[in-house]
Amino acid sequence: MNFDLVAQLAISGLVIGSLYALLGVSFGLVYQTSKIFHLAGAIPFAAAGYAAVWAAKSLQLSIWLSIFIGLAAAVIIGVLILVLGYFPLIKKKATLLSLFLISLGLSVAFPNLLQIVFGVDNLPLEVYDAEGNPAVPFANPTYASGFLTITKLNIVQVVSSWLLVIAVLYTIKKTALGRSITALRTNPAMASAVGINNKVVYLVVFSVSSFLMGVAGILITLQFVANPTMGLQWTLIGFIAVFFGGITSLGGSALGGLILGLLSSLSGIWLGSQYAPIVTFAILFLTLLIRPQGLFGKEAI
Amino acid sequence: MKTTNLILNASNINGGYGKHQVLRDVNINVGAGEIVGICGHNGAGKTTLLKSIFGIQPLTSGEVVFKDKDVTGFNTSKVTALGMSFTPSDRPLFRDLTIVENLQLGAHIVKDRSLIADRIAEVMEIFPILAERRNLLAGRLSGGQQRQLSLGMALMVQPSVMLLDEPSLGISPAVVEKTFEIIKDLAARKGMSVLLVEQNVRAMVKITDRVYVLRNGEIVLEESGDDSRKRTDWWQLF
Amino acid sequence: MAYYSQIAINIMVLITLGVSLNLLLGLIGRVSMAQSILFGIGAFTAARLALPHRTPEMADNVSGIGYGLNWPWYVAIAGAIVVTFIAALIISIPAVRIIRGEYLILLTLAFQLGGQQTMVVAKTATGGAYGVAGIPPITIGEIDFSGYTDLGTFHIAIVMFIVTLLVILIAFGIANSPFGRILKTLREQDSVVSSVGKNPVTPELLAFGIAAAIAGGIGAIFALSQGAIIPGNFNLDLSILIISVVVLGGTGNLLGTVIGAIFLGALEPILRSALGDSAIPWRAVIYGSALILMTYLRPQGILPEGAKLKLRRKSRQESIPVTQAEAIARLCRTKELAGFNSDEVLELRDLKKSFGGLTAVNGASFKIPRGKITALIGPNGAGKTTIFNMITGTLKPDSGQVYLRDKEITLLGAVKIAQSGIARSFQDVRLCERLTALENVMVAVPNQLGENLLNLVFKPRACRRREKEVRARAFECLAVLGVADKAFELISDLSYGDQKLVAIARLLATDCEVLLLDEPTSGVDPSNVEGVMQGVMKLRDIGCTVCLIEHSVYFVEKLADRAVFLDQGVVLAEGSVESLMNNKELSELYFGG
Repeated sequence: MNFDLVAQLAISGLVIGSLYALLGVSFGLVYQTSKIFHLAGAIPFAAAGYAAVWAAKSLQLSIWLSIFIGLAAAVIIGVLILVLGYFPLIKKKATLLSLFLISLGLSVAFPNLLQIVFGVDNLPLEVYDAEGNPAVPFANPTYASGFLTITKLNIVQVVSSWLLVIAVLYTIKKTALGRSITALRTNPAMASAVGINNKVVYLVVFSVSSFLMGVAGILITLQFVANPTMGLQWTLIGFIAVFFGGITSLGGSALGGLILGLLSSLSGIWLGSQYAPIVTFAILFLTLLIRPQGLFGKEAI
Repeated sequence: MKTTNLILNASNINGGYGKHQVLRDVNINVGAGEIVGICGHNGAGKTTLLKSIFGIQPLTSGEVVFKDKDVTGFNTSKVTALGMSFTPSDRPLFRDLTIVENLQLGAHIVKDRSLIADRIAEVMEIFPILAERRNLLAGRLSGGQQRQLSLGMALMVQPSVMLLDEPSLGISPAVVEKTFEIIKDLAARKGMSVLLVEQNVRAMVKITDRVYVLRNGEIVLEESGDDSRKRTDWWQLF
Repeated sequence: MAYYSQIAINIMVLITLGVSLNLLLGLIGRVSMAQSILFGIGAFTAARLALPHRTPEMADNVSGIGYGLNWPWYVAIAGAIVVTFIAALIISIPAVRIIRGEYLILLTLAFQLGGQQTMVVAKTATGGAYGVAGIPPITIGEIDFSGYTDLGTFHIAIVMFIVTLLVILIAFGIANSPFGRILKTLREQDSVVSSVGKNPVTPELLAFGIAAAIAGGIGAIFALSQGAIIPGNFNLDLSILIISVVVLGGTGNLLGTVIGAIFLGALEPILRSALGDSAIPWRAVIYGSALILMTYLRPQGILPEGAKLKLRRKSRQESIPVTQAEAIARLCRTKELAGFNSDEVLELRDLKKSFGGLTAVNGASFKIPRGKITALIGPNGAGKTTIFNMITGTLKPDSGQVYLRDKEITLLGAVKIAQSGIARSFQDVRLCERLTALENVMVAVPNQLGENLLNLVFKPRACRRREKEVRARAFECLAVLGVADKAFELISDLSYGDQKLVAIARLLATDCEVLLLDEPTSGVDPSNVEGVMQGVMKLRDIGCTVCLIEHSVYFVEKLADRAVFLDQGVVLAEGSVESLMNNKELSELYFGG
């Protein structure tokens, strides 16, 4: 076996796994609190990418302002989905299936709307100088050691993903707000008995989750491009991370994401990189077959 | 049996789950400082009645008046803020959080941090065991200790009426009596009213001032605590 | 001409795919996000089977394109059907364990997206992103079925029309068969199917298989008629479009699906003539929005499931074929079981069960006498429901045995136990709201030929004959409980008391000797309680052995011949209800000391 190859694959697995961890926590939060299969989480992801591209191009803003606008767009649209999409149905005590159908409708309508407005082309996130000439927003040097290489952007992706994951886990553990989330997630009846307003908690959870999705969207757009269907595949991977890691624990979702990334990348030892998504789905299939409660989940109730 | 100072009055309560009507024209009231018990066979509607009063379970008709205010349809945070607490029978605490965190959550609607700290100290004085184990996860406590914690959580909002659903559930018979003594003692000390649902009738009537019996969603009896303590045959009411 | 034929073909493809999904979403209430990829698997399978052999002229660098096994078109279609059927069974393997809700969504979604990716990657099979071309058309005599000519396209449209009718007919047949009745029961009340002694797994797997096979077969026809296919034809958007069609039309209603498909299928050409190439995203926006709006405004769809039924009921009031007295006489079983001497039908020996560290049942032993009503009473947590669950096999006891007529049934499993003669009712009726009272009872009648799909196909007459008997039996059961006049009402339109009676009728229809009733009177309106109690006593009158859990001692006194008093999982006393109530110790236990 070629150790350089394995090490290089492990590095790219770490990068991709860190992003998966971020997505896993984002979905774990929503799913554990609301039980909604929030497929429409793909929308804040794509919205962040597109809003940043638009702000940089049409408003000629600096890269940091553009990123800020992208993140703001993600949070706003995520909260709108909750308030206009889910709340009315939750109020009517609709089934989880209806909530999913809403999510499904949104996740097919939105990317197509993006396509109508921005066209089908791939849009890179670039900054423009006074003459309107595009330039890459950040220098992205590659660091190499022997055969191993990693780009600066990859390092940023890993570091920011884990910082956010840890920040979220810490907040949940240590703050009053986090305690309300834990309360609602583990014992909704008692949460309502002590007067926790689940609407407020949902709002917080969806904002945070959409923010994390937005960050992921920006990080991906910086590496590749924005395109209308960019969110869906990533969203799905977030879900797979949650179910793979175990739906009862957020930390499990994060670790699930990391392991999923490493496994799909390391499968490159035997298979071409184009097989990575297929490996991911195969892992999900096997998880559901062998250990439905997930890697770190408690025995299904 | 006459109560002059009504603090809680639920009238003509009807409710249930879809077609399944659980409560039929139920009228009950609680006076200030009074301990009122509700008993009846399993499925008679006792828990649903408590939930309806607290506003977790929507009513089909009827109204709940608390401290001269119509609170029908209020959400739980409003009702709690007005001074009512509810302790469910099943899992009345958060197992994955520590004792202190549970007490803090009990005071979820209280915003003043120093007030919360004061009340936690007060609760821990009442239940010393909670002070000893303050950073233990609540799920690790014994059944009786969990009950004490759940009572402590209710006390965190300094309620004027405590709704308690089967506080004897899940604790050993030896501790049941002690728990009821604690409840009686608390009510007297704080001038609180208590509305108590209980399966363990004989333990309950030792502390209640008045008792209602529900059968199949209807009140079939209301009698004073003294009368209920004298009663030898409960079968015909169940 | 070719233009309109092609639109018609597209709409009919959508109809058939919608109908296939309706078998899942409508009949069993399971979402599949993978109908599109199954359609694609069918298409590529057929293409590979039908394409001509490789010739030397085919250059190696286009290795994926244009060659295959050169089989005739009908074999290609059959092959596609078999392959998709098997593919669906494979997806269903984990689904059998945890086939519910979001797990199934995730699983089928992953299959869809993984499949899409595989199609692009597996170049030798699919030709990669550019797909395969040159698929030979269907040939019947001299008729032109080429997708490239006007007349050919028109002929394909005619073939598709026939196929569509056939598919609708198959779906209609399934929906209205005893097999379909089991699926509908699974949709609304999972646990009921096994509780009346029927295997819930096979019908569910078969439904997944059939839905996939329909999609695969249509995929094959699509491939043969188009001549060229690419993986992009079978993307997730199509899966979502199919779901939209079903939801828009009304889940469980075939006509609704047809209307939904025509509406959404006609949208594309209309938009295309108005907007040109930007029609495709607009269409997706419109059906996405339609899905959202329908879920808000009319979750039951354009045509709700029971719509047809209500019309029929108004126009034709069926007369009740049997009176209560006749029904009781017919169902009376005192003469049966003559060879069996012991008076104790059911015996529990030292049953134990604990959950975690908590002991729920701790060595319960008692016997249930034949033809009597026995009540289990005791305080909360006495273990009564746990005992019911262990008798019926939904819970495995840690130790101890259950004997039915001296035969041990302890570990037979829920389905076998019900088949051997013990059935139970549930506290919360568990009737299917969207079915009629009669259908709810019919599900429970044993030995229905039509529950086996093969019989439906090969012995349709016998199935129909048996179905008549089943119907008559269900009527008798309803009549015994005095609710035969409600036979054609939807359960959702019945009062709770009547629902309880229908649930008891369903129990009776199982032909089981021992009937376990979990709180038959709980939640029933006081004015109806008498009726329900009468119903329970009717069960005894016709010779059933009844064991019930009832919390209201007041009712137990009126109903039961004898009672077993349990506390903390142990039998403390048995005997007449009166003797138990006079027992001071029991009273102290029940009400606290």
